[in-house]
Amino acid sequence: MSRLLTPKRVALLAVAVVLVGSSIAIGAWNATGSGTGYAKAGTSSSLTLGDASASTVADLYPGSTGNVKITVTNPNPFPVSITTVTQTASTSITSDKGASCNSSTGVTFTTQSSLSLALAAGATNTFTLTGAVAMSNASANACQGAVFSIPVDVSAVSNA
Amino acid sequence: MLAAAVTALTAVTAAHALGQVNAWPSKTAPKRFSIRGHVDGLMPGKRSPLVLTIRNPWSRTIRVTSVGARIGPSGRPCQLRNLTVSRFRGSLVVRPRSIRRLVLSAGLRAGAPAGCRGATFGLTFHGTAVRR
Repeated sequence: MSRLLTPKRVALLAVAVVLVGSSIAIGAWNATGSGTGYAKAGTSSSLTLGDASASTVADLYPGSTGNVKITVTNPNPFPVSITTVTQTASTSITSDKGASCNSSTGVTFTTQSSLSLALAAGATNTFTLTGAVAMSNASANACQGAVFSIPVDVSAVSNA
Repeated sequence: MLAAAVTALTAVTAAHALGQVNAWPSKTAPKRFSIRGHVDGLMPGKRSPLVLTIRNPWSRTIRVTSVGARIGPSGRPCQLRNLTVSRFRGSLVVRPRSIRRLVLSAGLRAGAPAGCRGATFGLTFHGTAVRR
């Protein structure tokens, strides 16, 4: 045996060869997989408004504020949280007194934001928006005893 | 040169017409097993089964030990964090040249914004297995 290949060096070399061989053998038995797909979100249905009107006619008089009650139905299969109620754009507040009052109701609706009104999946509920409506001195005399209708839009987020 | 190109084009067209286009050349074993799957109709706060099809292309049994998914953008104002997909770690035996199903779950975060409605996220699956 040459001076380079002493028994000790041969043994170490053999161990090294075995180790390298083992790692190759193990690596050959592993496999990887790959592929593609997708995840598609469903679409939600719009909330349904059942009613939006001043809670009681007695609440409103010139210079005062009153409550608004809204009845909302959630047709979705998941609960939602109502966050905002605004008067529908380009609409007017009307009354059951007809043109004599509608020409100058003096009634305004204040946008309700940062709300957190929970509504369960498939449920209908009535919410009171405190102080959301006001009547000014511009209200016609014909509006006495009137019930006002306020077209509103309701925004909500999922609340599962 | 032109003749060769025409011949190659004809061969591809014929293969497509027969519906027998091999995913890999017949003499070359695929380097990976395939994972495919999708899920529709995800709703906020709810998890849905994501059924995956795992195909073993080899002539030896494999034991799948892990499967995961990388979520790609949906192209809508709906961040990736709104979607979660579970991972698999375990042992799923797939016999030679056969297919098995593996069910993961996917879900939209409860507070997912309106921009997530109808969003489609691309999923890239990756997995590991041991060949027996």
